[in-house]
Amino acid sequence: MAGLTAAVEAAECGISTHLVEISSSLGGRVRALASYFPKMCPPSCGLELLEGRLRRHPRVRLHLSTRLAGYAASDGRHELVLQSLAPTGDGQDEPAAPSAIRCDAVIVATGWRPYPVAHLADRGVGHPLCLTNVQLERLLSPDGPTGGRALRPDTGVPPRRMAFLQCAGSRDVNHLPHCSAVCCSATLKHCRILLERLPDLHIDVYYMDLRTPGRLFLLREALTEHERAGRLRFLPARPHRAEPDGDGIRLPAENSLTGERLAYRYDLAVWATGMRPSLSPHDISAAAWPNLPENWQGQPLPQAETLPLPLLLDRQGFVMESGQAGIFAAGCAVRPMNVAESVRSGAAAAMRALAHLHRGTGAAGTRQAARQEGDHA
Amino acid sequence: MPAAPDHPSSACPRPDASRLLRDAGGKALSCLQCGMCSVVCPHAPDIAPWPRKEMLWLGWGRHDRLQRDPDIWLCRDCGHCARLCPRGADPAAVMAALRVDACRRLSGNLPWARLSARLGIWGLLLTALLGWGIVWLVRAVQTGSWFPVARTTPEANGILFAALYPVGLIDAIFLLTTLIVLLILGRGACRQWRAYAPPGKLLRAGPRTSALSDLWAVLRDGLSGRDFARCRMPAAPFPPETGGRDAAGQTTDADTSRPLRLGHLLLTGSLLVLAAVSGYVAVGHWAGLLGWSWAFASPLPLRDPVKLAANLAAFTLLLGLWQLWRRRHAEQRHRRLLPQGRQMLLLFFGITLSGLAAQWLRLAGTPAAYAVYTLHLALVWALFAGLPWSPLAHLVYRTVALFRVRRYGRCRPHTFSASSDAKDA
Repeated sequence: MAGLTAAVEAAECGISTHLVEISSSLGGRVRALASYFPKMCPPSCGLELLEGRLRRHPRVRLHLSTRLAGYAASDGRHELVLQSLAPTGDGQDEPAAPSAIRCDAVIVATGWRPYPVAHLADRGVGHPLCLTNVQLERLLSPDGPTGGRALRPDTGVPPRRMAFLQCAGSRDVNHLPHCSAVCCSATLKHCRILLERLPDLHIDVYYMDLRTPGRLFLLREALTEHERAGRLRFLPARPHRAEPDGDGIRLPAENSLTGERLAYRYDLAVWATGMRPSLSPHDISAAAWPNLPENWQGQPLPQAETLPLPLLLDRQGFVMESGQAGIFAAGCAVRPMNVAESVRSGAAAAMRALAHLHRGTGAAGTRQAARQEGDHA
Repeated sequence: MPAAPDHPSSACPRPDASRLLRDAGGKALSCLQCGMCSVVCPHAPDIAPWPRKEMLWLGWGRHDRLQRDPDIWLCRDCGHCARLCPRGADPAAVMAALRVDACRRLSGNLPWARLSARLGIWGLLLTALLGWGIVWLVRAVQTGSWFPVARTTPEANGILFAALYPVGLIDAIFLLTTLIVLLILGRGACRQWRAYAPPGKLLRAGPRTSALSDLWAVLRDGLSGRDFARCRMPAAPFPPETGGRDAAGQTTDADTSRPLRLGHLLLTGSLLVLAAVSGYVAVGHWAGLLGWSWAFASPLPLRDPVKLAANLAAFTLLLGLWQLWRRRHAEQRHRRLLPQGRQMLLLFFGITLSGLAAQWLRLAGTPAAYAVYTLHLALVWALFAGLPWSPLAHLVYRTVALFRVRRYGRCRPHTFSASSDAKDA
């Protein structure tokens, strides 16, 4: 979303723009969402508008199913080597020949990935009745696998008792030390959707703190009615793990307000797994990063096959600043943020790229801002 | 690690609160009160489990609540909470630091204790060595030789420790030290009991039991180390490689508590045997003083069953110490441990090895046996004299706390046999 916005804004300011996307469609993770908060509208409404603007614009060149294969800096400009991943159509497995583009500014909007469930295996997240918030989002989406209905994966019936576990992997020194910023609001949104769709459902939200800054607090306000009806509870507790119990799962926890231990049983538990930047070196195999130095934090990463750009990453893999003038970052590549913030971040990055172009001394006319977007798995 | 500041809004400020926080790992104030530590604790009960409330009290500076809290002694330091704490606040270190602090408070902050706290157990050892050196000097002047050669027993190869340090002298020093230590511990136990006693009548949860049977249960569980069995860390219930469907993934469960349990059991058993041997030898000596016919003198011959038992106990003691040492090093990879435990283990190693070496040198007829024996005596004395402030004080204070909570029925850990539905509560 940040990348799309940046591309559209830059193009509409009169800059010829290349949009490089590794997947075959635009929209990234936002396309898979069920709805935006706080307005609860489906993501297609904003995306279609943006995509229409983008596709109509003559200055935008789309490179779908394309990855960045190489990078070189030459006298203040950037040379990007693009490698198409799409089948060539002549029945051969030969990859298409790489093409090169030259540009004056690069915006990196590589987005995020959910924290892998395998890292939370000792908390029992591998149980079939445990979902992640990303999976639930997909289930609730109208074009999801169940047509927007949240069902128990084993029996296929709607759940009667559900639990949401916040900060699963986030704000945890053993996992992601940062707050993923969107999970609390996402959980409140899920609660609202589920409680409205399933009249028999009871929900418990296990939290450390509920973080809903600014207008997002209205999400919480909108739920007071369900809370008063006893269908929704907020429990200041952090279950250590999910354990099997009969046909459901049990979540042992301590209510830190009352000091008593709880062990309620649920049909479905949703773990709010956090956001990790796609550029995080933690999930990139050693094969892809053969020359990764021992203390790579804060160092320009070596040019690797996954994203050969001179970027400064912090401990978690968020982009701190570009290693070279003219490379900017936007969206969840910078820090965890929601869709609205991503849009603003994309626009801001486009603005900074424009300022960079105007500072330059080269002849006008052939200036291009190339955009780089997508998952670099 | 920078020293954590004392909490500005401490309810009951203490001048040394920052030291307590520093001992507790320095990150106790980063606790978010999520309550994960109380859930993973295998010993915590259902109502008011620890260590979350202790973290809260420490953060708030509620030292009055901490002083009345027997739960700090119910923690067995398995370290699950420290490993899983999302904030790295290390509740296990907090509980350990609170226990050290409680020892200091209950045993009294005597000059002796202050010296021991400042210099550690090594300071005490140095004092002891110095003291025993003076005793040796005095005896050397008296007998006219640094290494007196005994002519009384042919099998002692001319080395007889009693010729250097008469049994009466050793008895006087050690009995006096033990008496003082016992008085200090007794006073501490009384203080502890009074601190735990709430105003009004105590209600007992569960069936009433006699105080004697409660005490017996506490001693049985404590000496056998049975409780440590619960400290094992269960494996992930749904390992990801089995697709999350194998609920019986218990085979991969490595019993992390085994070295602790085994080490504690070996240590306790060996020390009991060694104490019994010492008592037996002392009784034999005193009988000789009284002129009874069955009296015997030390050293016992090597083939004497009592001597054999003592030597066997020394070796099992080493084995137990090795288990505890190994476990300590394994734990230290994940979390911070207080230095007191390490000092105590080293002291025990020193006592055992110097004792065995002194015996061996005596049998070999080397005069160096006297020096090693002096070192052994100094080490044993350091252990005795520092006991009320060392981790070994848990012998008394943990027993009092366990007895106390057993008296009002807070002895059963949680069982989730009957889980309730989310709707009910």
